[in-house]
Amino acid sequence: MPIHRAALVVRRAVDALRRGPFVTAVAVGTIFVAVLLTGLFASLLTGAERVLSAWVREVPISVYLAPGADLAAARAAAERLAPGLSVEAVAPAEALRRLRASLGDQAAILDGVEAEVLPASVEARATNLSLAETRALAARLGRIPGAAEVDYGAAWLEPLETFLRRGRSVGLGLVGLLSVATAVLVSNTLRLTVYARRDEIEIMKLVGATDAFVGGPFLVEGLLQGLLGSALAVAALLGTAGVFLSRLREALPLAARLSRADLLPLSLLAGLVAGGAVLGVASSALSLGRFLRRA
Amino acid sequence: MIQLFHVYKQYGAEAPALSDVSLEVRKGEFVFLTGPSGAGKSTLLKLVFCAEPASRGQILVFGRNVSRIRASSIPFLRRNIGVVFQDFKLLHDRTVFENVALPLEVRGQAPREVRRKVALSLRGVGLEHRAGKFPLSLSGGEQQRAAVARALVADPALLLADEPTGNLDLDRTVEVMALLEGANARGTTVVVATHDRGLLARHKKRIIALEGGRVASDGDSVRRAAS
Repeated sequence: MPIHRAALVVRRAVDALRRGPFVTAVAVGTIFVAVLLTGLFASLLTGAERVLSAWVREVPISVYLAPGADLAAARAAAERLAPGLSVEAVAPAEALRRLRASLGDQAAILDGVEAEVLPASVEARATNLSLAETRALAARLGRIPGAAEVDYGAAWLEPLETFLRRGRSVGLGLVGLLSVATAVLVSNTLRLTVYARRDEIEIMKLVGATDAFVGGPFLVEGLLQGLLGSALAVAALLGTAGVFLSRLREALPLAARLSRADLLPLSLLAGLVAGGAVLGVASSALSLGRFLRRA
Repeated sequence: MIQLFHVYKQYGAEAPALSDVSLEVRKGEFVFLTGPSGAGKSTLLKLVFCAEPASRGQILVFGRNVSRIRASSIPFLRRNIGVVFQDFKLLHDRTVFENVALPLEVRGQAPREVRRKVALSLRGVGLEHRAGKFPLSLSGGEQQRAAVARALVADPALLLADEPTGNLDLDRTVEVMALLEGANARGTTVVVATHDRGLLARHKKRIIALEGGRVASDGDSVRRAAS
């Protein structure tokens, strides 16, 4: 398309936005709400996933050995099965010392407890592994000689992961429904604009305008409304995340390392702006298509 | 230029608006289409510029059968046709210049070319000093001259005018008819639908009379009757 034609389409779209400020505000507002809700849900899910990953990294994989098992041999076997990971042999005495340390002021309750009460173990720290990879590694470590039990926090990590997975599915469904509802709402609003400009459309078609010529500015108008609505929503999300994060860090020590970029990664923000733009264009196309078919 | 073969147009269960109409308008002609209100004049023009399809029959415009034309080809056919309406059909929120520029913008012409041709066209209808005005600030005659300028700005091969002087007094009618005759003299085929018998009497042109959707007469006889 020659530059002057593109400039004409954009000029007509901007003129139309200026001529109908009320309809523009309604369309931008509707897209703003839809993108804001989608962004809130997505950032909560993203944040929860980041926290889960952080927890997985914090929790060591502990292989508890049966009484009488050879700790050195178990450690060597663990190092072979988990190359590159930090592997540590924890003798019963060390385990008791750690337990005392973790109890702090209440360590006295362990007075008289023999170290041999606790099993020897091998601990592997899995950094940069996902929960699935941690799970697979734990299964491998369960096969080392003398292994009696493997613990990597599955009792609470697994249900949390299932919850997040279901949350993501429900979220995707909700976002889909929200997008369709918004497209219908915005397209009905834009139909008013199209209807108000029916004379202009009729005259343009009389002088030989193609549907593309008539529709181009409407689509650009939808694009601009979508970009504006989603940009405002992204700004609101960034502001909300700033306030929310400081409260979350106070309430949840594991969230201390959670940054704004973890909650609202650039890819999510770009996706939201692009989604808003697509929503605006789709709504315009929907309203215009219905009109052009009748014109 | 225009050929109609046994054309019918029916709206719902009403009496046909056009019934078995066959006629030919040759290149370079100036033709009046006349008849009382409801005779089918406007309907016939609408069929020619593809605003509506014929119910039956064949219509050839520039040798193309518009009864079988694809919807996507209609805009390109219309770019060879200028249309003038009784109610002017100007966009009230655009200036006279912008209204006249519309057919050129639709064709994708460069802004410099658009400015040159619009200025030329407005000068041709004597409205160069009103280019920046909005249509509602113009008199009826000026609005119709702007509409004629818009219809002629892209040098169409065919000009269709539906009651172009219906809202104008005698002096303005003379002005607008002079513009249409000027276009015809430069080679544009002109078809004017009118029920104004005075207009027919003043202009020695071919006259096709419609009555009840049928061609009642074609030629000089109606002009004689009119005079």
